[in-house]
Amino acid sequence: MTASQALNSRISGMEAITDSAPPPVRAWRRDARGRYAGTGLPTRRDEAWRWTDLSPLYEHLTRPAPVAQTLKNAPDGPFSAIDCWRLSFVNGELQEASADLPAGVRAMSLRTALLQDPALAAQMGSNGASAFLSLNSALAEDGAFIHVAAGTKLTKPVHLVFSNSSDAQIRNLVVLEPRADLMLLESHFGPAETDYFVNQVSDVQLAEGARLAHYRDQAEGLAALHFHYLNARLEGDAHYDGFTLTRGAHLSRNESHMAITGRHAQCRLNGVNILGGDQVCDTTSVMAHQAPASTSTQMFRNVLAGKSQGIFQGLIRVAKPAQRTDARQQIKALLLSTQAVQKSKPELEILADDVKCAHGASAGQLDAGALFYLRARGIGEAQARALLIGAFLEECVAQIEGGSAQEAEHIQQAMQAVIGAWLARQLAVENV
Amino acid sequence: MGKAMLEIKNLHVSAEGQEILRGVDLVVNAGEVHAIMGPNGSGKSTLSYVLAGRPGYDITQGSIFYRGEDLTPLPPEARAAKGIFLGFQYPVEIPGVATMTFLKHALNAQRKWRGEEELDAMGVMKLVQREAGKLKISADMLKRPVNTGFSGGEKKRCEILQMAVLQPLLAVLDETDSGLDVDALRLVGDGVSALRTPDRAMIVITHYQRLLDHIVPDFVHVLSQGKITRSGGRELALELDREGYAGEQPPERIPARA
Repeated sequence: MTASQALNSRISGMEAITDSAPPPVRAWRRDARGRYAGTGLPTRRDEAWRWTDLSPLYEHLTRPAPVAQTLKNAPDGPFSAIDCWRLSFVNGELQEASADLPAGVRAMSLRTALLQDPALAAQMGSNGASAFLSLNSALAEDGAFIHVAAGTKLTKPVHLVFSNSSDAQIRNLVVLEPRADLMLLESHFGPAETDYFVNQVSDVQLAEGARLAHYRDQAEGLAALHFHYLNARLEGDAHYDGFTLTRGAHLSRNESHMAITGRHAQCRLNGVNILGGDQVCDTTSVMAHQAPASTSTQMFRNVLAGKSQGIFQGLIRVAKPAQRTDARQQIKALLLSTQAVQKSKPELEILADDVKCAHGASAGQLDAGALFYLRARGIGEAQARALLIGAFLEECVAQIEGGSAQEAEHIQQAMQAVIGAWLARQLAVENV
Repeated sequence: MGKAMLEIKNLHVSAEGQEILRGVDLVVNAGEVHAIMGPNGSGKSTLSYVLAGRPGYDITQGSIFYRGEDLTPLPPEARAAKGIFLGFQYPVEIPGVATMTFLKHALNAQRKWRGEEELDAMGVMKLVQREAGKLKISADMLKRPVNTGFSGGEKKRCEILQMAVLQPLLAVLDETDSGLDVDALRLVGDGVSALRTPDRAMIVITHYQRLLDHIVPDFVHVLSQGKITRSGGRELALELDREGYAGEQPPERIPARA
């Protein structure tokens, strides 16, 4: 059976299951199936996938999906010690949710939410050309639904914990009404040896003046395939602060489609990707400025050891009405080995005439002069390398805003600790 | 080996296939300050890098013994822990690493290497602040990333601060006076002089004699085309200052290749 035959049979299997869904949801899924049938999975002949070899996914799909395993407790991550309202998912199914949510906040299973209010489907994007988006819309059974009422500010974050060991199509919908304020944390992890396939789509709707701090730790098992598609819309004065740490999965893609539809909205899309072995991480973004006087910044830092590959494709699109847009994009990669590869493609598509746009991409090795300077002061080579790499990433981690300075410091330190542990392991491996 | 702290014999060093040092001999004892002067390109900085163990320099002949031990196989961090300090001509900017953090790592790495107890953050801070005060280095500067955005004078003062905190036995100061105005020169010169002790030796590399008004040397050597061509006392520096390096050509000129 080929990969596409295998997927088609999974899709027809889903048709039976989802027959019980409310009619608007069924219609929505049917449309997605139709769109998927029109495109199929992408190949490297598709411009958007030119640099990312999907053959591990094709091979995976020719085999039966891995049997779900019972995982022990979640491993420590940057968010473990943070006091949160937690929702725990196993292969995309909600298992446990904090019950003591404050008034004005709903955090629950998306499947349940759609049964209660089928009209929610209208808030979920499915029009994009991405096959992974269509596939997810056709197949996803569950995920998180989070709704924060107008003017509600949460006193602590909501944490989505995704434990995966088998194939999962996960769908999240996050809706912040005007001036709502939320910090949303996500952790993704799974067993090291299993080549499970996770395809997650998150739809994020930020109404006027809403504020979302959205931080993710992708620590999937090192044989996993992880695809993440973020579909966000920012209305006037909305503020999105995103940061993703990618350290897991054999092959991953973080694809973000940010539509800035309101004036003075601010969008920050940042990330640190730390990869070793033969890991591949693709960061793809479309930052679409559609309204005047909005700002966006994108800062990505990759540290690539072994034979790992970092891929970055970032398009800034400024529509004609989006005058006085300020859009910045920067990707820097540090190659720790001669076999590591970074490919970067910044793109600008500007139709307005009064805009500030800046982009930069660089890839290089550790500075030999700086390394010697530290060693000449007595700092051993491995520690000196770790210090310099940590400093390279610190600039990006320091962008995490949090809801308050204290919260920001807390999350930044937790991220740095995880990065530091990774570095210590990686440098120990390199020295063997 | 006797009591010599540093004994360099017939040292030949090449970098990128080019011979830079062509037979340097030098003996430095504890408590002594040696000035090495010479024109640009004579090999002064190479000598300092070779002593500190910078990768990329090949010792093709000769030896370096430090306190009776062959220095050449040791990595830079081991040399530092054994008490060798290089004051850089061009201190390197390290964005993202705060100066205080850097000093803490350096001090504790050396202490750990020597089997001494590491100092806690408070202990390091007290020690650093005490020395920083003498060099007019503000608490704000210690919070800034190492050398990043520092003026030339600030960078050199920070080098001396590192020396004061790390307390080396042999300090090699490479053109510590370059880029300093008169006031900064006095501050740095006085800072270094304050670190002169009977058990510490210094090699002060400089192009001009003016630094030697502040750090008065016991011996002055002229390094020219990879060799020490003259040695003398303080008066040699004054003579070179009057007459320049024009006469300092080695006896055998290298014939130009056709």
